Amino acid sequence: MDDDPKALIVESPAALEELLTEHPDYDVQLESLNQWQLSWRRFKRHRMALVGAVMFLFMLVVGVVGPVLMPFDKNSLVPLDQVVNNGRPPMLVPYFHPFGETQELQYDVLTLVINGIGLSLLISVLATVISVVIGTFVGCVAGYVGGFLDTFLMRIVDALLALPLIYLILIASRFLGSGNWFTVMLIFALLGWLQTARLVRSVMLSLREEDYVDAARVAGIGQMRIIFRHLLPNAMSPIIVAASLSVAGFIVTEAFVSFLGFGVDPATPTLGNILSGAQEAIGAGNWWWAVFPGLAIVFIVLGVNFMGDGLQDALDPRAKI
Amino acid sequence: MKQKMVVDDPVAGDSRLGPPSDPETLLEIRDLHTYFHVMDGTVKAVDGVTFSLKRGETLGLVGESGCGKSVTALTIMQLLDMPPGEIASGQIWFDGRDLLQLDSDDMRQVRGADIAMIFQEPMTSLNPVFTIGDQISEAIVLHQHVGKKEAWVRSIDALRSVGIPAPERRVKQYPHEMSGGIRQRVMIAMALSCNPKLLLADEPTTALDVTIQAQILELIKELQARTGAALLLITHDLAVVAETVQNVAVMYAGRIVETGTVEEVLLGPTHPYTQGLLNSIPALHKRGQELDVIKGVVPNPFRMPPGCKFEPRCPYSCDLCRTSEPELVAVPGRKSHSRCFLQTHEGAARRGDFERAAGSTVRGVMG
Repeated sequence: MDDDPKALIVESPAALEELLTEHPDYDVQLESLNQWQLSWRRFKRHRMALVGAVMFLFMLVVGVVGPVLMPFDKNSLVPLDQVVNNGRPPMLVPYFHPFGETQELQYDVLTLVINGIGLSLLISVLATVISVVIGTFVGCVAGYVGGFLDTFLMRIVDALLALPLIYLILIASRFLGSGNWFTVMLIFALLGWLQTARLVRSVMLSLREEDYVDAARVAGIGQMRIIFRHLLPNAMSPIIVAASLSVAGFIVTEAFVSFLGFGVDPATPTLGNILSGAQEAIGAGNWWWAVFPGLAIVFIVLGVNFMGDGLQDALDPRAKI
Repeated sequence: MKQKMVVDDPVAGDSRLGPPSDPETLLEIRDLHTYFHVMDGTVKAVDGVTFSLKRGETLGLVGESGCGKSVTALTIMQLLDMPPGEIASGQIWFDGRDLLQLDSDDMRQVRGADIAMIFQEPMTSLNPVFTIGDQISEAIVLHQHVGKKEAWVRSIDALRSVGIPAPERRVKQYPHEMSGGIRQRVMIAMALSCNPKLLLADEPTTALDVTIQAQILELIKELQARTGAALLLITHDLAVVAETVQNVAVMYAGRIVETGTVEEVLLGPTHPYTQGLLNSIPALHKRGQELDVIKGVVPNPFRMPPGCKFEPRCPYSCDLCRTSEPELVAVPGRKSHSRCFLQTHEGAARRGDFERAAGSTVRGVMG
């Protein structure tokens, strides 16, 4: 090779045009973009998706950094001169409580919400990752291998899906002992992979008929390698979309389960626990205790849903840029 | 009526046990039966196919859609979905081993390394998420036991050898950036990258436009001659066969009805089906005339005629054809074989009648 072909590769059609008008004799070509790069281009043009992604990333940063800056201490007590039984409303001066205080113990709601976002996101993101990994593995194997294995795995999925998820979670958390956030997360993950497994199986069923699967088999490539290296990347788009939406789902489920008192230990701030504690305070006029964690949930779920919608469009291989 | 036929088997007599005696024989298929068990019954897609291929030899397998030619190739590669497919009986001797006796790991070593295959649809035979360099070098790493860097260099060489310009750049591109002709070249590069002994080409030019077809055929021929690989070309296009291969086998309803050299079979077909195929090719000297066709349709796979499978459509059929099935017999005075009673001793008299009646027979349509 006497010339480096890289030097003559440009990124955009506009740059190509410009270079060719200046130097018509140049041998230039457009940069090869893979599917992820093409998807990123489409995603960038989707305004709602960008807004959603920013919302979600903002909450993620708040949830990760916030608890470090403002750790929740359940032993902290308000100084005697500041005791107000119903908690103080949102204020900036003289005391800095932008989200107000809770009833009775007078915790700072901002601190609670920030810690709640952190823990709720930790639970839902981890549960999503684990459930997607399990669901993808089961779905891939069932869909590609087919036959008895497929029937066996899918009947298990069907059986588990027939049980109402929420009662399973309630029962499981009762017997496995609620309280520990990790247990709750694990219960979510172990019951959440069913839909992913079904989705991935259906994608695999159509992908395994592709000609490039035959081409790979003809080249002597092994079954596992075909499934996980050749087909899985082709199945990633629906999996990513489903995963993003499942984060939102787990946030809501966590809130629901904790609200019923079956989730994480009530003294630990998760968004659901905070809401659960605020139930009776609303009647006493302390609305801020409930509104701000509620808004946090709405913000996360909305952000994730916008983002998922944008991902769906961006990852669709048939879509044009 | 005498039902039992005197048979002389084209595959030497009783070599049904053990590998073929001639070391020059690369592939020998003996009495292969591949069935598909579907809801309505059993389709005998390949029903007693026997042929052999010497090292470096080129054989064309022709026949209309559904006659079992692709299934034959897929059976050799063992790429059938089982069930519903089933390789009911037969032997596939390849390079001293019966492929049907290999376990799946050994068979995987054969695929890609010893036998490579090119498909009909270049547009969908490449994985859209990888660069073509990734795809070619994956097979090289797998079979040639070299590092990734070395494999990458070899993929560039492979692309260059199939006549792709600027291979250093192309190797980094994705399939969607290429035309059908270039993709088929990539498929060929991939197939030949591990120096296989046998190349199966299943309708390699059908999906391409006519000008590209000629280039790709030329390329396959040239690379076949250069690498010395044997070629099994599957096609329904007799023109492709005439240009590309030395020998040809014509299939009908799951079995071979005529084999021989391209010259013998195309210039002097002895089986009525082959004659019909050749007559139905449009020709310049037949301008304005109605096109000859083979009347009737391929028999229903669930209700095959009891005798000769071509009998319901055959202009020369007789009572014998309706009740018993002819074997693939050597045509008197030639090297070709034909599955037709007209070529046996019993049919010789009848053949004479037809020949006198037709004046000059249907031979010589191509000449």
